[in-house]
Amino acid sequence: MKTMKMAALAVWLWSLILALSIGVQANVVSIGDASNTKDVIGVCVPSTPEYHVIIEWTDMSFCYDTGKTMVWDADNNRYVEQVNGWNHDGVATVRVTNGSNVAITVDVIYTSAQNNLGVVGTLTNGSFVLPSAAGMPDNAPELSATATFSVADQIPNVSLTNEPIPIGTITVQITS
Amino acid sequence: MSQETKESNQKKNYLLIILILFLITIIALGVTIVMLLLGGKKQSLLPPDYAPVETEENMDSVDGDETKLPQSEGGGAVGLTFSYEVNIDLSNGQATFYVKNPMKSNQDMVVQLVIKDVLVFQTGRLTPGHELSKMDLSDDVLNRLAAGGYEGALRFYYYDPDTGEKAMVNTNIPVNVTVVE
Repeated sequence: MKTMKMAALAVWLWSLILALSIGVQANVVSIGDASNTKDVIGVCVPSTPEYHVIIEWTDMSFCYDTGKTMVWDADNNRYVEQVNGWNHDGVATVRVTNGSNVAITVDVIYTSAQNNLGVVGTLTNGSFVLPSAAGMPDNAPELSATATFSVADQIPNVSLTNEPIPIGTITVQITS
Repeated sequence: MSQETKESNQKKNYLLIILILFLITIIALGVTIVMLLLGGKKQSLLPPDYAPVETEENMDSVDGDETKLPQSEGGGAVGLTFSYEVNIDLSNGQATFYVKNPMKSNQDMVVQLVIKDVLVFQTGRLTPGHELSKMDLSDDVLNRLAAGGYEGALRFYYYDPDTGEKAMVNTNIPVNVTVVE
């Protein structure tokens, strides 16, 4: 009888200890366990958007040189004649940097002038989204993007002249 | 009534009808001419090829970093501060908005507000280190606007401060225009 009582008591005590330990473990698990936590993500919306943008462009004047230069062809061990072509390789760039506290969408658009110059201009990387500058370090590369304008490597349909002739315009459109 | 009298009356009726039609034509032509004269000239959207000599009289100077933006040879660089909201008050004939050409810019600016291919205003030359927040509108423009909202655009044209030559690059910013009585 006494033995049975002792055994029952032992079982009861053991159960109690087990229950408590599970509880403690549960408590331990719940404290600081990443699976039981939730990240709270908030987006700070500025009360007043402020738009500041920097637009930079390289030389947009193109001159076609019909002169020729002898260029060494290392593959064939000889000089070959090459037309000089457009200055600065017929390439110009437009870079836009966002200094606003909100993101902006930029579209760089080339509109050809209505003439018969036969100059074919192409714009690449003309559309992009620039993130907000809020919280960004100065000169962060993500805040800028560059569109490239190039003219096709072909002699234009114009007699030799020193007078500049418009070939088109480049419009930087900025939307919020 | 004799045959001759009948024919005579008929001729008179024809002449009367022709005279009335002629008078109506003259009156219609007159009204058309008057409307054309009173209609006013439509302002051109083409920005000047060279910067206006005079600076914008409504611009205010602003302080700022005087260090100019780096600029490649033959190129250009501008800073631009602006708002997407434009308000027009028909009672005082003024448009209020915000644009700034900061000190660090290397270009002068001319700004247009355009609504549906109608030039609402065009500023004078806005030099670096200046801001602009209002423009007076012409009667011709005010008569074409009604209270409500419009989709417009602010267009920025850039000019070399030394030569006055217009840059190949310009900027277009779609804006919301609110017109109030």
